[in-house]
Amino acid sequence: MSEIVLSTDDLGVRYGSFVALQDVTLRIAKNSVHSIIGPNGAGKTTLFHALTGRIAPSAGRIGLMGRDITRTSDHERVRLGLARSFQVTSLFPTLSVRENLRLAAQGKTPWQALAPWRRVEANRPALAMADAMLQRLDLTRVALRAAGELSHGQQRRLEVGMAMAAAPKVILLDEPTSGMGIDDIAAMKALIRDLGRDHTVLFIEHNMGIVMNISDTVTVMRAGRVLVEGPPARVRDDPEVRRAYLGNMITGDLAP
Amino acid sequence: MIPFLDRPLVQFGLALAAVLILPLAMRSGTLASEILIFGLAVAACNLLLGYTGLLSFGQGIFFGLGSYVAGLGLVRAGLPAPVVLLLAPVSGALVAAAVGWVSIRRQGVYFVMLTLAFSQMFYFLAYTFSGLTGGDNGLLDIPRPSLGGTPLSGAWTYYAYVAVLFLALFAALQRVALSTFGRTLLAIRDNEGRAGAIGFPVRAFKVAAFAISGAVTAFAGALHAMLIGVAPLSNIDYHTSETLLIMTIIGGSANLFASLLGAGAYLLAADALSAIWPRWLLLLGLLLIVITLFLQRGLWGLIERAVALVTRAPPPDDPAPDRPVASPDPEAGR
Amino acid sequence: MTYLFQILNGLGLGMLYFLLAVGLSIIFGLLQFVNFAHGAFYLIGAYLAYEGVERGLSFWVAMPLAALVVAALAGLTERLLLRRVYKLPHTFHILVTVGLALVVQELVIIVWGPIGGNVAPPEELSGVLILGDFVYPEYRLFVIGFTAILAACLWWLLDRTRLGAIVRAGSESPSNMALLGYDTLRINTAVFALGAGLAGLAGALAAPIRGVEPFMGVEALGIAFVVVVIGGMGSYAGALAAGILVGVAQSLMATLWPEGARLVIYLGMAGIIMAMPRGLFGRA
Repeated sequence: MSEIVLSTDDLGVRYGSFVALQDVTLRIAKNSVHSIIGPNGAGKTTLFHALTGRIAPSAGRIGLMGRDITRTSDHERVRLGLARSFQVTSLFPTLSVRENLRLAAQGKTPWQALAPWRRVEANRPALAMADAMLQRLDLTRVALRAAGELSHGQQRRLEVGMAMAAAPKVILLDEPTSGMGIDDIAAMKALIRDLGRDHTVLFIEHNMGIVMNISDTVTVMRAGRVLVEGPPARVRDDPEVRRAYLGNMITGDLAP
Repeated sequence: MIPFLDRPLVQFGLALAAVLILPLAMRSGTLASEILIFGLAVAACNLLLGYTGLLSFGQGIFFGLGSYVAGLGLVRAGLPAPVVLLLAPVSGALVAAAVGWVSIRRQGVYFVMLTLAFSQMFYFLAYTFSGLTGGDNGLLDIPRPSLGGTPLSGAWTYYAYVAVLFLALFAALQRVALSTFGRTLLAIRDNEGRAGAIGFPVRAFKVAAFAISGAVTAFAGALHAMLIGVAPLSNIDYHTSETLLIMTIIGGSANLFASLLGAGAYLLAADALSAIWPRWLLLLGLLLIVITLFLQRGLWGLIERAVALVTRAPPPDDPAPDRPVASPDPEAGR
Repeated sequence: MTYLFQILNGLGLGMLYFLLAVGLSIIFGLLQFVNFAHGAFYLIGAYLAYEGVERGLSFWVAMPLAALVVAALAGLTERLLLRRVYKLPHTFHILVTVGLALVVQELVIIVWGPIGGNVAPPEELSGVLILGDFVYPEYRLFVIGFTAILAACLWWLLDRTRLGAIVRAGSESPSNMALLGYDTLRINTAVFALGAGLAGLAGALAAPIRGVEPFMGVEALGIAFVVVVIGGMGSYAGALAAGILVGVAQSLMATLWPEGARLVIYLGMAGIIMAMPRGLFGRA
């Protein structure tokens, strides 16, 4: 097995007496595409919130490249190389697409941005990253438009692009294809597959076609726990998974 | 939004034009100075409201504080004016950072209420410690600054002094608004959660915005005390906070020149109306209701519409599909 | 004995603050609307009671009448003006209600003059209660008792009735109400009128204690905000506890350090907010 970049050990999250996450132990390998699936309420998004530091876990620990980040603040984790996209699109709606991406790139060196005299143009890497992202996301044509005016598919791509612009080691995507049309889904699938070459991608997804097709590893969650983990083919054929959750939902092709 | 009008040079040109036109168009140099002084304080308020999305009801704290620092420094301690004009913004920044730091722990309406409660708290501080502040009477006999040994006692000579400082600070605020810092504030205004998620320590940015706003407001407060020769208790009370906020919204929160516009329109109207009818605040109240219903982009919105009519550009409230929005500044391009 | 006197005073004051704050709180809870005109409704209530008594009405008629008229005026304002503003950002809620408060304050000055006046407590309660060497004005005792009964009724209304259930459901999630098929517009008007009516009633009850003057509305608004901030927004218990806390503290300070009474309230608020950002009873 290759190098582990992101890990959790016995991670638990409670909301009052409700146990949202329990004993979750994960090993995410470097430059792999790792998907998390499971029925609604399985704790997938809670897991993301805990990983990115939006909520504090009540048990266990989180490690990023060997470093314990369990108590590290959310913006500090971005600096350490963890970025995420949201299930519900969350952009800066009145700012231009390019500015959205520039901000996301600048977020890697946030304290530098605190200087009220420093010009935006002084941070060339952030501008260059924004332009590179525009290209990669095929959004150059609408670079100067307000993000709020984009089509849904474009907004979803920008949403993922915002996570990419921070040049993270690990990128967490929360249902990147939610609400997308077929054409847009194909583009997103290609984008995620492409991302896996130079990033580690952890993503939550309901579209089994994508999951089974581009994942290196699939983790199935149920009721806050890890049910099964393994390569797509094995997960797909696991009797317990079939019984517990997937049933006949796995229809995605396994073509290479 | 008409991008041309938001360009930094155009904005500064408008401010410069206003500074030059006021002496030609007005009889009272005191009122003209007041417009510039409040223009500064309103621009500082706008940095919070328009750029960061923070509606602060505490701006009067910093304005009054600046007045008191001027009074104490010039009269009690006998400091020279330049030192006082340095001390005022420093103390304004410190107090504003503290008020901001506590207030931003809550969001939305709760935040507004906290800033208002703080403005009451500082009012009663000033009222209670009358040994320091002069209580109801305020601090009296505050001298005007002098240049080369001659005090700027004439209304228009003081105006010139204020005008130079105004333009310098206006340019400085423009620089802040265009900086990485200012642009991050816009992001926080748009979507605070995402700004945090992409790595920005949102609270630090908000506190810094407060500090800058407080510094500029206190500077304006000090200039005001020198203008009228008194640091009155009323400069730190609820009504000053309210007035600054009203001026900000009347002008429009889209850019910094709109703030000068708001301050000027308010003060000129107040001057004209209060001479005719002591109950002119009734008209102001009605005006606020009208603005809420029909003129949400403020006077600046009116100007944009007028310019749009003349140049036949698409009207500002009609989102044209390829309209570049926010920060389309030409220098940012490659 | 002087402390008992001051604590009773504070209790009465605190109950009036409670009426003010709970009105502000339920309006915000249901409508997500910040009402900077809340003090203006208090002001109108006080002046209407004053006018009624001046014209020879019994205080027992003038007081409830004042509250009802304020509620009606508030309902009308909600219908004609505020309803158009709900969908705008908070800034405009504040702007329009600040405008409204200015209009009311200036109208009050136009009609009644800038000086203000006193309202005699009702005949039956103009005396003092004497218990040993303890002497206390009867009217103030009445205010404590009456507001306590009102507080209980209000609790019943908010906790046990259908209206209360709707208000609570609406506060949790404003879209709930429409989904449940309630006539949202009418409920909004009713709740706004109720909240403002409570402020008007507080004004009418306060008039015989503190007199009337045109700027009492601004002062009341500041106090109501402090009470809501300390107690926690949307919390009935919080408004009650914080109202009494603020009233008693203010009253005790009036003997200990009169000039600093107000200051201590606001300093205390700052302290509580540092320790408990959500207030005493605020929900997470």
